[in-house]
Amino acid sequence: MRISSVQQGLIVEREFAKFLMLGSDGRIELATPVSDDERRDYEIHVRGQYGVGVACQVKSAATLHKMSKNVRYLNIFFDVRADRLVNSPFYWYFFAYLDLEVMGLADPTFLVPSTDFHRLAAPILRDGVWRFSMAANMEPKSRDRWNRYRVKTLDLGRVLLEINKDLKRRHALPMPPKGVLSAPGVIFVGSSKVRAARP
Amino acid sequence: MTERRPASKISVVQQGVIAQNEFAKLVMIGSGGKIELAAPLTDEERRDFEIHIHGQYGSALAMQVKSALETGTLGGYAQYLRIHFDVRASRLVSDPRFWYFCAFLNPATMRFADPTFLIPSEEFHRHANPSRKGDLWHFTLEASMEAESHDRWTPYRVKQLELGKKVMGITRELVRIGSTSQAASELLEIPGMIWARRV
Repeated sequence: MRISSVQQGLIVEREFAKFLMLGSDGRIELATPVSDDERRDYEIHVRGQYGVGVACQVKSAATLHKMSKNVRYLNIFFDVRADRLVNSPFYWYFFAYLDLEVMGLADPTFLVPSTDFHRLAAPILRDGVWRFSMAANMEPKSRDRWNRYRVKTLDLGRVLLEINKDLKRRHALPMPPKGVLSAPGVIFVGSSKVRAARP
Repeated sequence: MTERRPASKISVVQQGVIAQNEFAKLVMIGSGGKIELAAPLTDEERRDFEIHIHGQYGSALAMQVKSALETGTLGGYAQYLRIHFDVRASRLVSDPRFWYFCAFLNPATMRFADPTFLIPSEEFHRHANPSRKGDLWHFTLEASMEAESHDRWTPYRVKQLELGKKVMGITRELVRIGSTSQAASELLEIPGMIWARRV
């Protein structure tokens, strides 16, 4: 007998929380929304910092698929009603393989911004429902499209702190007064550092 | 042998939550999903979990989870798990259905280190250096983490991947004891019954 999908979901959410808390030396705080209408498993913020938080949806699999002899893939499929799809730099997905042999998450895990995921995960819209499917190579030498989103479990806290810091910096960029932008001939120039810091 | 590592900076509350979640994960997966855990809404009786086997009601195991983020020595080389806590005398529960789970939560690996300890409350209260001051009982567990140890706590060692099976065994034993004692109490209600015992 294996654990149920409900047990699996709960275990993986709590594993994710553990790695964020311990990996950030306790700086990361996680909160679970009272209702899940916006498909967020956690609201994540850095202790003492208000106003900027990352929402995260956690997805997992308890088996890996072999596409060839020595190549294992993490396959994740799910549907989202089109009117509930969230594309935001503050909304991220976390994907992981729960290894039942060692009773923990295996490396690598994947932290993917929602906008990137919705573009890369073979999206198909049918009858008002988006279907996404991800097949991420788990092998160390992989160079697939999900490679850049890999995070080792022990690094999750540190990486989330960096994401939060980057979002806070971008979110806090000073904007000119409304009237200035509408003035004829005005050109708005942004800093290249902002682009370089994107995930 | 457990290597000594610097303790994490997570708060006591975070540590408690992580240790409880880690215990729940190991028990759920290790029992093949057969064990159900429930967290009491109030902790007035010092229970972190009520545990029962899926579909079996009437006899639940209560569990208190205690953890440490570092190990230490007692003067020699051997590493010890040292856990200290106080209990108000009026809230001390010594019952075959109440157990303690004690473990070293290793900040470096972000999971428990082997061995962990599952100890009946009566045994714990008798041998964990109990001392009473006023209304408080003080307890200190000092359990060797070394593989070749033969200290008092050795019989209660459990490898983390075997926790699920161990808890299943304890819960089944409690169900058996419970059903036996219930049958005996029904005998006493028979009119004219005389209870005899061997001298």
